[in-house]
Amino acid sequence: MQDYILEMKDITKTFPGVVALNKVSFSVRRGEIHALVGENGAGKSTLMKILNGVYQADSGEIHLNGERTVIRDTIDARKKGIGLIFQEFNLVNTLSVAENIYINRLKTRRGRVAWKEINRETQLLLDGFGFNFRATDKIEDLSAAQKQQVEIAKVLSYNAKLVVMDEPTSSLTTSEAEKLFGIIDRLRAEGITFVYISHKLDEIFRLCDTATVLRDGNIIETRETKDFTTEQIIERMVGRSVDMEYPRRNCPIGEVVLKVENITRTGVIRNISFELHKGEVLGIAGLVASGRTELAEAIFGAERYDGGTIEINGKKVQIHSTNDGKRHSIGLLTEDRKETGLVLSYDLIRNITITNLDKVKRGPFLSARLEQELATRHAKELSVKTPSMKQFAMNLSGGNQQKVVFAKWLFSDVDILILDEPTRGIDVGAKYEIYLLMNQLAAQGKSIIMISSELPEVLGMSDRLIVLSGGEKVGELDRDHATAEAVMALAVKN
Amino acid sequence: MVLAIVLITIFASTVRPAFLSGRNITNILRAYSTIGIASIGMAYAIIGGGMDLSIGSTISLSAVVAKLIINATAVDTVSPAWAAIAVLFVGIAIGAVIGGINGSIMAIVNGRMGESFIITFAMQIVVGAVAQAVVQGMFQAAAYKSGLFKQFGIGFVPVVFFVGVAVVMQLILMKTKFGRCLYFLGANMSAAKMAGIRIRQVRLLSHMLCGMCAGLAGVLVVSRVNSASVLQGQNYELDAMVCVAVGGTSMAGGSGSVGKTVLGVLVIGFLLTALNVLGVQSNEQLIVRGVVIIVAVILDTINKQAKLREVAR
Amino acid sequence: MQRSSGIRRFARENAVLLLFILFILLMISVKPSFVRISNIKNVLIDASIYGVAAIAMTIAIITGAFDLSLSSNFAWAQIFFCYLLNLWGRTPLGILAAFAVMALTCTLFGAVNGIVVVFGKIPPFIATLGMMTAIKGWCLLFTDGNMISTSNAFITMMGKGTFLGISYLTYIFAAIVLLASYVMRYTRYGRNLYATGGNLSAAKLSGINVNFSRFSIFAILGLSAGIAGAMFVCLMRAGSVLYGTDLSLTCVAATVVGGTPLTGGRGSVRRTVGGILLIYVLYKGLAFLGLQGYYNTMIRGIVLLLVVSFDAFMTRNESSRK
Repeated sequence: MQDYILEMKDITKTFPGVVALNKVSFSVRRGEIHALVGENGAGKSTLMKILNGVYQADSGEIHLNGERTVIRDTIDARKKGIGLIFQEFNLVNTLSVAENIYINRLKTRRGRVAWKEINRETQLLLDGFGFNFRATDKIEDLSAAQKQQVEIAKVLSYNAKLVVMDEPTSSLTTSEAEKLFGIIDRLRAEGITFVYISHKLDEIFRLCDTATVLRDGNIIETRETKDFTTEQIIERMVGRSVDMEYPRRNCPIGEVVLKVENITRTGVIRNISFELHKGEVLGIAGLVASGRTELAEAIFGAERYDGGTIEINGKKVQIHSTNDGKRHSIGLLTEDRKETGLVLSYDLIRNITITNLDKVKRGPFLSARLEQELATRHAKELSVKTPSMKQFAMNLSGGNQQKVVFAKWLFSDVDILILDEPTRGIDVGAKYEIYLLMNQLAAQGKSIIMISSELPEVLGMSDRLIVLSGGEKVGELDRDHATAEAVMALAVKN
Repeated sequence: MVLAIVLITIFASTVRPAFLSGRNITNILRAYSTIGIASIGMAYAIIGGGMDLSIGSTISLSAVVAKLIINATAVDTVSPAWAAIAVLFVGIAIGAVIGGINGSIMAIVNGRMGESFIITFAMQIVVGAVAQAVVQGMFQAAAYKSGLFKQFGIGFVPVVFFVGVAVVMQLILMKTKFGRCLYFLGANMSAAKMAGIRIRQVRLLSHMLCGMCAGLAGVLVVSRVNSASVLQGQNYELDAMVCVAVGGTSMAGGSGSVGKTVLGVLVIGFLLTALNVLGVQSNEQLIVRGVVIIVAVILDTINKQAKLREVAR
Repeated sequence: MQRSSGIRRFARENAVLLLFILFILLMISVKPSFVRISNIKNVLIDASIYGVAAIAMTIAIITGAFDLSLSSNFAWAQIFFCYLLNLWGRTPLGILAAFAVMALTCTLFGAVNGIVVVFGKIPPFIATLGMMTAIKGWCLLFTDGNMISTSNAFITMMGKGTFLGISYLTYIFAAIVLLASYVMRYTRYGRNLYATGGNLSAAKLSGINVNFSRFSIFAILGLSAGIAGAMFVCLMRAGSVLYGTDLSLTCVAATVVGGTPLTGGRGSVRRTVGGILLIYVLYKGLAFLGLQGYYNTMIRGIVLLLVVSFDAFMTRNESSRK
């Protein structure tokens, strides 16, 4: 009889308009490291948030240690021995490590907070792990890896028996990740069970005993990792055979439109240089926090850069603001379209025309008719599905929202488009449409830089790609030489 | 909103029939024209996601300077026409400068609502002191008695100014690039930045326009009331905020309009006059204003939450 | 990932402080006679009164809240205290009762602020601005715009009396500073305030009752206005709407000068003591240099403006701003 520390049975959870989890059954054996794999939006985070008491399931049961329980909230979850380490840390930056670990349960002696004791015990805890920071250090002074270590220490100080880690290595360098694996192995030996959410299959094969694949809110399969292969997992994640058809593109690649030399921003990116040609799709690959978004922001003018030059069509330009970037024909589609790409409470017309209001002027004033006409035309060209242009942006699906963002930039006739995770959070059908759109734009002579964490996508769509790691450019590959292994090998270089 | 005006009017006129007279209504319109102009300026600041608490002092300063100039240029207690026009420009200029300072600071520190509160609050104190300085140190000539300047304050003229300003400002807001950018800035500052909007310029300009409205209002106040003291502008910022809020413009920015603010001014105008008529003293009215603002914002928050919930369905 | 180096952090925390000290040294060099015992004593007394409120404001800012209505609440405290003293002040018990009742009303005003902000979900700025006006109106109503004065002997003694050459009022201030300091550093309640101000969602997820924290802070602000008002009456033996209109902003400035940023989650009460003292030295110095009335106010305003602008500038990239 298997000893299951956790059994989640037939969990269903719906949000307005979408079924996040559909009768999901998920069981974890005591003492194992169990991987939870799936694409964006497959339901992994939702399932774990239910386990952690952040959400309540609509139906289904949770059994802990063989007993049926209800997890009311995060405090309850913690009491029951469940610890969740988020992707975004849940720490108070202005306070110390010790205070964060003991938050809301500071030890007191006769009513007075016993700082000495708290700091001492925390230090012991940290030393036990071999962490290299002190209990009295402030969180804001720590690196991402160290912050994660604080989260681990925190979770264990609550005597968690089941620890869930959500994309734990996304902000870590290779050596830091190795250290993390060492910690996990050691803790497993002490009897702690892990659920490990990650899309990095090589990590999963290294660390985990079992893997469960989720897709679109359904459990697809659970199998021991020794019986699984990479292709099989990918196939179950994606629902089709490995080679997704990326639309072919065959357009001429022209002269250099953008030349970036030695772009540096202290502490973030260093000496990055590359060229972009007309009609080309240049991919930028790299692990999270390798500096890709920061590079894009520097080129576009959203953030400053401390060194280096930018040349557009052979002429050196100064880009100090997003307005500069726009005027120099650069447009940035941000990572987070809901926060920074669109104003959700405005309608589609307003969202689209904002980048080039001069175009809808008649005389000195904006013309509502012209606005409607032009915006509608752009939206139609991109096949944005919406009942009306007056629809609020927040009501559109992810894919359509992204199309509106594209429309917004096309409205200002930019020639260089930087796409930061353009298909994140978009279903497969819409993704394909975006790829087609990219090809269309390239054929029209526009130049595209594509930043993506989805390796297949970058490999499938780019004519060339550069790889960033730790804020530096570590390699450049052209289409024929770009394979997943080659890119990964570069991306994990430190 | 219109409903509110009607209700108040009905209520007040049942108590004192004279409320509904044409004369009374004219009085209300005239008296609240200056608050109206100041409110329109405030609306700009609020729509842009900020706030301007310094308009009270701006009004005081511009009022004081206006009175000074008029008095100094009066010939036989008749104020010449050119002086009247000049004073208008001076008042607006003063407002522009103050607003410009506000806007510059806001632009430099990348400010949002919180910063705009504190910074303009401090400006209020500084400008108030400047106004006092101007009054103290200068020679007060004999008061003027007639002339073009006086005309500004009589009959429908203030209302004409009010309407004029409202129309121009609404036009700018709705129909110009700047206005549209201002809305975006208030709705979502990061999205505005990422869309390539020149945030600093927009902020600066919005605060300048707000100041200019206040400056103009100050000049008109002097004309109407025929006196100017440093306390002239007191509470104007609160009143303006109340009018904007009551009119339905969200305090968070990104929505609303001049038209709505005008309605708000009318509601407040009718409300406060009705209170007067009913015998409520000015001190109590002060309390009422404070409470009204809180209520208006609560209603606005509830409204917003309801709208979000509805849309998400 | 970046770390803020030790020097950078030191500079950020103490920049305004150092600027202030520099300016004061400048003033002293211009008029050395400035440094006189009587001046120092005066500064101490004035600073003690406003200081009580400044301490509360600092705690509020650390928690991520803000209160503009302190000025009006302070005025109300003065007025009501004088009024009650004139009624009941003949017996020691009466004086105590007068203080208690007045402090209660002030705390209640603060509690209303708290309810509106926490449960009405209105930004503290707007809510307290509204309250400020409402309370001011109430004060005007109560006094018809007049000043209320009292000639209570005990009160006069409290105001004039000194122990070891230092005014009683300063002792009261010192006691409050010590108490606040202890609470903020050594009680769970105080630490929870830091957490609430530092990262509201993290605090909530950790089980801290953030609603209670934020609500209580407004009540405390109200109480502090009451105490400061009572102290004021001891000194001036009168109360009016005209006194203390710059209280809110001075308290904010004292907080910022002391090195507590307006973004919340960090800072200390003790530093604000330095802040308020420096501000009052500045004020005194300005008066001493011959600047009176409106020029004085103008420079005060400009100083305040520069101080808060500087803080806003230094924190312009932090995301936790209101």
